[in-house]
This record gives sequence, structure tokens and C-alpha cells, in this order.
Amino acid sequence: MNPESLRHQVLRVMSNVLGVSVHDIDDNSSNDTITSWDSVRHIDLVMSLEEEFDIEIETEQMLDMMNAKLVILIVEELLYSK
Amino acid sequence: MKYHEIIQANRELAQKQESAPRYSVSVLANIAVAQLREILEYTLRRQGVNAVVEVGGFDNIIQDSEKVADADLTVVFWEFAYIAGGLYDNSRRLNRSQAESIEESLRSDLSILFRNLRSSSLVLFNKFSVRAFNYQILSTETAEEICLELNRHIGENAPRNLTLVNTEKILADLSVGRCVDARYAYKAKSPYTLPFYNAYAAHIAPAFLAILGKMKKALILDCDNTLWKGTLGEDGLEGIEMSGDTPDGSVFKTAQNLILDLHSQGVVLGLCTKNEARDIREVLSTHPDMQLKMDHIATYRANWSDKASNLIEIAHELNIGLDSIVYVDDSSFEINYITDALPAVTVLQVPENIFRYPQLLRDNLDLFFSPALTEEDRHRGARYKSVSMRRAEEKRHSSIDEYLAALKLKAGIGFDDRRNALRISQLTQRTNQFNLTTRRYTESEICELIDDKFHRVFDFRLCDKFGDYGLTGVAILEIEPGKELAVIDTFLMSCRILGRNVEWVFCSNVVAHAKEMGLTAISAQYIPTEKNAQVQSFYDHLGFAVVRTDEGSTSYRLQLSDFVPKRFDYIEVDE
Repeated sequence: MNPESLRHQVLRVMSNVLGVSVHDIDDNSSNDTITSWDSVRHIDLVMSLEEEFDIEIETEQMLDMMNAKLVILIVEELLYSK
Repeated sequence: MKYHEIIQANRELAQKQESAPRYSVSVLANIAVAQLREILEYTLRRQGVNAVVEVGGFDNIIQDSEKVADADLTVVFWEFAYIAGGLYDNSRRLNRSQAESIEESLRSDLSILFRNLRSSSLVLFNKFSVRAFNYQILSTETAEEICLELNRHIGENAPRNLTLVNTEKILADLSVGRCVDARYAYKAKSPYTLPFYNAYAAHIAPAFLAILGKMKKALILDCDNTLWKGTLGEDGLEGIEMSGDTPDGSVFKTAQNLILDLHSQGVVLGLCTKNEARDIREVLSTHPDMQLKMDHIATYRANWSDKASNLIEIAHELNIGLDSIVYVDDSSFEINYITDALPAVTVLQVPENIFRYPQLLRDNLDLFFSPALTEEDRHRGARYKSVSMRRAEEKRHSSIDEYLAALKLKAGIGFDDRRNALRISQLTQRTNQFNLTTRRYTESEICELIDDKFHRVFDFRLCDKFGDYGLTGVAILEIEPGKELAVIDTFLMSCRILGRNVEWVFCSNVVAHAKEMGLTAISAQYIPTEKNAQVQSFYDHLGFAVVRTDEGSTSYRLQLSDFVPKRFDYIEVDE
């Protein structure tokens, strides 16, 4: 999968889970900038990413997903190590 | 649909249904089940029920059960493996008397739970199970024995509003590996996966829809390659297959048996097929392998018109909504056409690999779930059948009065009979069209009203020369002795008996009853809903005076001294 379409797919998942438009998410979007991104939604996000990409996200990685850029990076990493 | 798509779709539905009546659903659990919230809300909203699901505090089942007493639906996840901080891990080393004392303490917790939830309209309680963790097939564990005993206890002691849910069947269907994720089980006490919740929500939704009067009522079937293998028009009577002697035939034999099971539960059966009507009648009356007979079929359309128009006619004839119909067909063309033209109809397509067909039907049996079967349910199929016979009679008489007189209608009216409580509560839950106030009551609420001396719960029965329609009308009268006033809290009639003027007779009788009790006035109300426009002027026609109109509701009052009952010579009344 090319990086651009992967990025797009991750952002679509984030947009659906967090209830914000894809255009309102950039690399630095985090729970500071998106108010709906609380701990419950974080679990929803992790489970959604696991389902969408058929990956297993470790606890460490889950805690590391602090902004959109990191979310994309971690998904990428997991997909390439598959 | 993926979980993130469900979250978004649920958000959109919530906005669309913002002004629709809200139903509160509460989930009590001793594990974390957060993801069930979005999935269950979405599943119910997609079927037009604006559900707001709340998940109770973690491991607070008993405490929370006190707070959710008025929930419309309560779902209980009481996972054995998580009881008492992991009872299951220790259970293998328990001796029998220790196991019994655990059973005893859980039985007493259960009785508190049942008491707290007794006024919830519906409680769905997952059977105790350790199936997710137990793979030994040569022996039975203590934990399994405890689960078995508790489930038996619940089956025998639970109140009528509780339905046991067998989640083991979902585990068997999807596999334990897909239903339980050990990572989340250990990290977050959240053992169940998204696929499990999807299946769970789909299976339990019909139980809730049923008590809201939104259950599926009719199964309409195509014939060729749906009831039998082959095309009647080309292969002829001898060429079609449905016998247990051939592989393909066996599939259709099983399918017909499943369809007959539904008929015996009160599901109305109909046919909608592009065939010559006389050929279809011939197969149903003469083919030796046919298990489905003309007697089971309430109505059929065997013609070459488009199936959507036929289904609309069938819905009209049976007096049910399109959203109460499940339609089965093998053709992609017909299935797509119906999906597109009549989105309210639920469609099932016979799989191309026909050996999967029985499984498809079995998977969808829950769509027709009815909380408790009554005598009325068991005979419904036959009643709809006599509807068609009556329609034929209708054509033989020139005036409607002449026709009604020929029917020899006999009405029976009684009140405060507890034996009818279940059926009465069902009618309050199912009747949408001829229902003046659309108040829904559970069986236990009806019992309370029956026992209460300031309420009268009337039941109405009807029969004619073709058969018995059973209990088909309900009126609830509230008496305010200080004011010498009676209030009609509920007045409803099942649609299948309308058009015979019996509604006037029933209401007149209820009013006359109030007069005999020495009351001086009676008040009543019409509360509009999406479906009850036909009764908008019901009380006006009976001579009630409008007192007030607000937000569409109309309040009426009638001085009993002015009352002139409506009578029809051709309706005999037994009181």
C-alpha cells in the first residue's frame, strides 16, 4: 500500500471514530486539539485500526499514539512487519 | 460494516432521529463492554428505534440494577469467569459443598437483581457460561456444573419479563477465537470482540423490537428454487424437487420444515411468485413431497406483475405494514428490485450454494421472535387464512351490511380477567393503527391494573361463522370516584377485525359500563402517532365533545346522561 493511501485510510478511521472531518485532522492533531478524543474513544480508535488493517496494536504502541502523525507511523510499522 | 463506520453511521442516525421517541437501554455488566454501546444503538436505530444505550459501571450489576428500574430494555452480561475477581480460575479446585455455597450466594444475588428489574419492559440475561475458556470435551468442570445449575434456576425463577440469551451459540457460530480476545480480556477485562458484539446485537434486537410492536409478522416466499428445486413452468409438476431422497431436494425439504415451524409459531405465510396460479395450487394440493399446503398459506400472488406491487397488495390484504414482512427469493433481480422499491421489507436471498439455504433461514429465525407464545400466536396463521375466505364471501354480497349480517358476528366483552393479561399486554405493545393513545403495558403492569379497584381492564373477543378471531380489543378505564368521572386510558382494536363496526359496539359497551357504575362523565384522549391517523375522529363519531387540543392531541368529554350507544342489529353481544 502506498504511503498516501495508507494515510488517507487511517485518517478516515480517525474521522469516523472521533466525529471530525478528515480535513480538520493534520499531523499534529491530538487530544488537545480534538475534544472528542478521550480515553474511551482512544480504545475505539485502537480497535477500529486493528479491525481495518488486521493488525494487533501493543499496549506500548497504544499509549504512543498521541497524535495523528504517530497513529499513522505505528500503523505503517505494524503493516510492514507483517 | 466496520466498527468505525458504525460509529459514524450511528452518529448520523442519532441526528436524524433526534425528535423521535427515545428508548432507554441499559447494559449491566461485570466486564467492560463499551463497544456494545455504539453497535447496539446503531442496530436498533437502523430499525427505526431511537435507542440510547448506557453502559453501567464496571462490576456493579446489583448496585446499578436499582438505578435502571425504568429502562425500556436491560441487558445483563454477568460473566462467570469474572465473578468474585476470577472465580473461574479457582473453580477447578472447589469441592461440591464449596460449589454449592457459591451457587447459593449467586442465587440470592439473582433474586435481588430480578426484584430490581421487575418493572423493566424487557430484560435480556446472558446465560452463565465458561464456554470461552473451556476446551475439555472428555470431562465436565465444576464451573460448568455451577453455570448449568444457575441457568436452570433462572429458567425456573426469573420473572416473565426476562429472556435468557444463549451466547454460546454465537461462540459456536463464529468460533471462540473470533469472539474472545485474550489481550483485551487481560488488559481491560473486556473479553469480547467487535464481531461478537455485531452478532450479539443482531440477535437480541428482534426481542426488543417485538415488545415495541415492530416484530416481523409475515414470511412471503417465492416458489421456484425457494420452496423447491426447479422451475415449475419448465420442469413441470414431476420435474421439481423437494424430497428427502435427493441431495438438492433434501435442502428444500428442510427449508419447508423451517417455514412450517414459523407457521406454527404464528408467523403468517404467503407466496409471491411469477407462475400460473392454478399450477401453484396444484403443487400445493397434490404434490406428495410438498409439506407446505394451501391451508398454511394465508394469501398468495401467482401472476406476472412486478413483485413490489404484489407485496404491497399482500401487506394491504393482511393489514400489516411492509416493515413486518420478510421476503425470500432466489433471484438477484427480484431481491435487488424489492430492496430498492420497498426498503422497509426485509429480504433474504437463497444462496447460490443451496446447501447454505437452511442455515440462512435458521440464522434469521430470531427475526420473528415473540417474547411469550400465547394461544393467539399459535392460531394466527389460521386466522389470516380465514381472512382470505371472508374476502371471497365479501364479493358475493351486494351491500356491506348484507355481507356483515351473513357473517353472524358474535362479540364477547369481559373485564378484569387476569388470565388474559399476557394477551392484553401483547396487544398494547403490538397495536399501532387502531390505537387511540398507544400506551404500551407489560404483563405485570396489566395485572396491577386488573387488581387495582380504580381501574377496569376490558377485553373484547369476536367470532363469526368462519372462525374465532380471539381477544382482539382492549380498553382500560381509570375511575376517579371523587369526580364521578371515568377516563379512557387505552382503547385499541386489532386491525384484523376492523370494517365490521365492532369498534363502535365495544366502545359503547365500555361507556355504558361507566354509566352503570353511577359515574356522570367520561373523558378520553386521542394522541396522534405516525400510524394511528385512522382513529383521529373516533370519539367525535361517538358524540364526545372536544375539550382541548394541544400538540395534535385532542381531549374529549362526554356527559353520560347524553350518551346514545351505537348498536348494529347484526352484531350479537355477550357480556
